Amino acid sequence: MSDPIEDWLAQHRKDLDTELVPKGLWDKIQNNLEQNVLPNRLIALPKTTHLKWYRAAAAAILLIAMSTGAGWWVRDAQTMPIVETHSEVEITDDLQKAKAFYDEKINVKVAELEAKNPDPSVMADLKQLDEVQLELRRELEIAPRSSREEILRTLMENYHHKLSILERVLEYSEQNAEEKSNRRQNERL
Amino acid sequence: MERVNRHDDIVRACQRADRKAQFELYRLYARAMYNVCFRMTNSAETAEDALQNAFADVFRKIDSFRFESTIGAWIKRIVVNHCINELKKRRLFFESLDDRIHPSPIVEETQMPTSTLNVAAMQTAIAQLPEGYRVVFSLYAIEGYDHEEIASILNISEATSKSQYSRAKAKLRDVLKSPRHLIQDV
Repeated sequence: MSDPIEDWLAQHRKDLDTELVPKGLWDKIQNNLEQNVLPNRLIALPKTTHLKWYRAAAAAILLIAMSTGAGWWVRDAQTMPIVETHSEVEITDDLQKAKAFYDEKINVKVAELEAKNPDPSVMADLKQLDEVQLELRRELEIAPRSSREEILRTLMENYHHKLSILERVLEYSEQNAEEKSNRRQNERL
Repeated sequence: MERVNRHDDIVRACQRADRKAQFELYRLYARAMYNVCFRMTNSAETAEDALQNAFADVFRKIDSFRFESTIGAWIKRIVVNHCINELKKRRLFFESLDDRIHPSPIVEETQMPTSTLNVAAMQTAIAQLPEGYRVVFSLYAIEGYDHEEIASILNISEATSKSQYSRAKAKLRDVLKSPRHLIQDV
């Protein structure tokens, strides 16, 4: 059964746009764009967004992890803190909680890894992830509210990847040490 | 086709942060999008804020536009999201969308004469709808989103979107039938 209101709207949809755009809005948009510019380093990256750059960096590090170990180990996603953002206060609280959660675990793993004299390139790549985190946190402060959830999610992914990489590298390091020990024992026999 | 290509050229220039192209895109869509904002927020001031932030967001994110939809639909989705953000600042919006707070049966549709309808009457009647009703009604009946999309935009269930729409239409019908609807405070 056709609906008279829907039928009427279908015929007069464009007629409803009677409001005029307030004067000076374009100037405000330009000011908005100029005030919330991205950090210089991110602007300088050619034909890519900061998130793509982050993903490229993360992918490069994953390749390093894969080349030093036996494949990519994905942790159960449920172990990640759930971040639901509704307001700036909640975003800040969630970020602080998640940051504390990951920082504690990451610091322990970094200390373990440093004790094993790791390949300097692995540490350099982890440092690169730290820099991405810093950029994302800076951007989170200036980004429009609508973009913050995506940035926050990327930030959490970054923490998660870093922890996973550390765990994988440590696991590989332990396996390697065990294999060497077994080989030595076998050689003695 | 020529028109589509012209817009594609403008979008590509915007992706190179060409300020003239940005203004051209703004000129093409600002009025339609401002009216979307005005209908959704029911406030000139809030609509202006939403549109300002939305267009700034459009130009920041335009690099991610992949020409898989029309640029108009892409812009409108950003605009709608900004309107929702503005409305979320007012907690009443969430409450008015919650079926547990406003339980009511799905109303039966009744006929009404369309000869009495005109633009001013319809605009006034829509403006008199409660916020949740108005937003769902605008998104479905005017902006052309389906209930699945509205559910995703508003983070509600599809069933809630349908029931809110049905109630909004019933309310609108009542308002439009009332001879005093132009001054009635619903």
